[in-house]
Amino acid sequence: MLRHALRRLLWIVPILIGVTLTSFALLSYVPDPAEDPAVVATLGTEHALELKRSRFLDLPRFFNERPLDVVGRVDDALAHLAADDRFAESARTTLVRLGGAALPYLLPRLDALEPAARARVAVALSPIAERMGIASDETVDPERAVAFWNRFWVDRAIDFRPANAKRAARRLSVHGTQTREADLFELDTFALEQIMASLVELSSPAATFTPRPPTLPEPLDAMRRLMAAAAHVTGREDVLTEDAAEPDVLASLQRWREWWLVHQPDYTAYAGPSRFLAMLTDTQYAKWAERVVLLGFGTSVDGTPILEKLRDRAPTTLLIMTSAISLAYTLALALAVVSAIRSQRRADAWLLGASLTLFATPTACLASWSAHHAGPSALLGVIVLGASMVLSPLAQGRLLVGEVVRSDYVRAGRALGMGPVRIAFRHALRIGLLPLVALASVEMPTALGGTFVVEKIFGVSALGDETVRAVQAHDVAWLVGLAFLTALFVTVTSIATDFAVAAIDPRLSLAALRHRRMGA
Amino acid sequence: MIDRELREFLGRLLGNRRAQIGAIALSVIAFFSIFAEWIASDVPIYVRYQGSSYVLPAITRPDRFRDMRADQIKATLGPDDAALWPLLRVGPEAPTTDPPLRAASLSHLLGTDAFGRDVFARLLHGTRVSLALGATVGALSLLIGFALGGVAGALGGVWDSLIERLVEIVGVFPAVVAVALVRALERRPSLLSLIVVIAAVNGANIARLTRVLVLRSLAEEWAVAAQATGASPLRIAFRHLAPHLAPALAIAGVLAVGSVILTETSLSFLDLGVPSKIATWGEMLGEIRWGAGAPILLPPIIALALTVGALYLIADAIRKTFEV
Repeated sequence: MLRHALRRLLWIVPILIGVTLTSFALLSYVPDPAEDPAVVATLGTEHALELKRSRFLDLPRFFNERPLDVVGRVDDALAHLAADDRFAESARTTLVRLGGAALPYLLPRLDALEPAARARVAVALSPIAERMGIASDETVDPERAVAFWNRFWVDRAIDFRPANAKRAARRLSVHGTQTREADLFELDTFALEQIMASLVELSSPAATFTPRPPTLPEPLDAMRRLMAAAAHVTGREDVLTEDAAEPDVLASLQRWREWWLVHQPDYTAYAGPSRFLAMLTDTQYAKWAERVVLLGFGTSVDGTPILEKLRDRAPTTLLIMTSAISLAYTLALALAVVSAIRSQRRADAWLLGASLTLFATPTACLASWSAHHAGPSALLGVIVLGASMVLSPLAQGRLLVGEVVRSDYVRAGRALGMGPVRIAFRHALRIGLLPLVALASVEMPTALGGTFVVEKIFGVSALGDETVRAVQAHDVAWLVGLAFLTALFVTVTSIATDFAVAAIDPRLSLAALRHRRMGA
Repeated sequence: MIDRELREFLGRLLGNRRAQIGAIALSVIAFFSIFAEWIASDVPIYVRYQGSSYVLPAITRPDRFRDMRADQIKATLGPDDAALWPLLRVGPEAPTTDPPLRAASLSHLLGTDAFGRDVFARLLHGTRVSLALGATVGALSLLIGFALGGVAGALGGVWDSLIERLVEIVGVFPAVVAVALVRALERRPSLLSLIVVIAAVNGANIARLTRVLVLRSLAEEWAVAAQATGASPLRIAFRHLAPHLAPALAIAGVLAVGSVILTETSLSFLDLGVPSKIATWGEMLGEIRWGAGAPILLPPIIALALTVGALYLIADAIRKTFEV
């Protein structure tokens, strides 16, 4: 039994992977926002492309034979700038965006270009110089810009190494002085990889719980500083105020990590094995799964982490739903047993009629009506929801219990003087219970819709209103998170159901079934 | 052999009082929904207009009459033109000239709703949409569920695990979440996605039920006996088991049709329902949000209860017939 239990629990993993594949299959048919004229008209091409990228639609689905890293991007941009073709303008903005991370691959190649192209590229780099705080009239002058960048590279090439970037990030997070900030700014986006690494390290649970020497600053302060530096070099407008509280900082960190997931290839170079790895990881599915697993489904459209929202809202909804289902099924089983044993036709008909009416009356109407007359209360919501679910278990239960009551062994028992109570508890209940338990677990997904309606009418702020908002805002991240949560909940209940079924009817335990099949 | 059994079964079924009542009620409702345009519509059934003819707005859509009320259409007709009008000249979509929330009268059999639309016309056309949706999705999910559940229960082993897992993966998506996900992804909501999603989710439920029933029946002695005579598992499942499962499946099918209609109601209430200007029962009930009272809400509720009740009576009769 224990082995069976473990195997069953391990099955959760493939099921959840199946759920990710199913949602991914749905998601990969998202219409491309950059091709939707309505989106482009309201947001502009720039934003639409960014939106496309944030959904990983620029990547192939499962295999990327040519992952594009910073070196590849620099190559493309240089080719367009040198040719001065119609993509030159966008190549210029790309170079500015890539920033310091592009310099180690760009500056050594300047000499190989023609003089005119060389000057164009050098001038295009002037916004980067401004960001680094080294801009002068030299950087914007086509005559002198090339010489400036050549000199810069001779002087500073030695600084553009990961170890140096790591040291700079660490110093900023520890000291936080203006000088340290200027040091980091001089590396521009080259330091981003290390900044993100430090941020992840600072936010890990280990960093929070290990005792920290008094010379080190609060991790929150360090995070805030690092994020401010990242915002400076990338031009993202996700800046926190000095007195931002912990939840705000953590939410901002989540957004940064998500942004990094999308934009990492802009700032890192793939060399050797990492290039082969990128063939698998720079794909829609891998990025998407990474967001689900590492970042807890990412952040909602309004910037709150999905996981946090789910934690806040899920218990209410699940509580309403499970208590309504238990109420309905307990009631249905009791009524089924009583009606089968007494088998008074008129009472039977009334019972079915009443439950049929309750079933056919939409939950929305019943709930609105009772909310109107009795005022909103969660208990009333549970009762209304439960009442609408009585019919199906009652019908099934009556069928099954009726079979038992008419069976030969019960008739024989009756002839021997077995009382109705004994029939009910010893035979009818046990047989009736079995399919009902199976039915109850599959009721859950169906009941969720009714729960949302009840929540809406009784003004309970839980999963329901958030989902309606998400559909209107096209907040796919929330819906995927919700699908995952409900999938997990339903799977766990269904496994529990299997055990319950085996416990009630030993004939159906897996071992017994296998034994029979092998014997046959 | 099968023919004779089927004829006998049908004969017994039609002799059952409950089946008769259910069938009559269902046919009346179906009749009204099929001939909705003949009873209440703002477009004529047949028009001859400036030499060309149009039949039934559902078949040929005369563009020139779009967004026009019956009296406006009538005013455009010349002396040579002819039109065959439905019994009532009000449609389900366009507001009438009468004020909203009017009580029932001869021109509006059930009054008007909050937007001044005729409730009776909306009920007729809504019945068609809701019935069609319920029947399509119910039949589709019963088919999917029975096939998958039967194969899983009968073959067992790898097939069982495989189908069980598939069913679990689809079944764990609550209908409302699946529809919400698809709605959020779509550029504009479509009816097809609604049908497919609800059918898949419902089919998964029925497959689980079928599987449990098949497993239970296979434990019976006659199934073991059939195995001993060399019958293949699939033959046992679909030839010998099917009659045993029919009562439970008939009830499940009926409940599926009813619950699809009710699901649609909930979805419409949450603004995720059938994307249509034409009414559905769910959409009519959703008017409760704009303070609709009993006169507007009762017709769809009664229609819904009648439909579900009729289906239930038929299923019950099927069960009774099998039990003889």
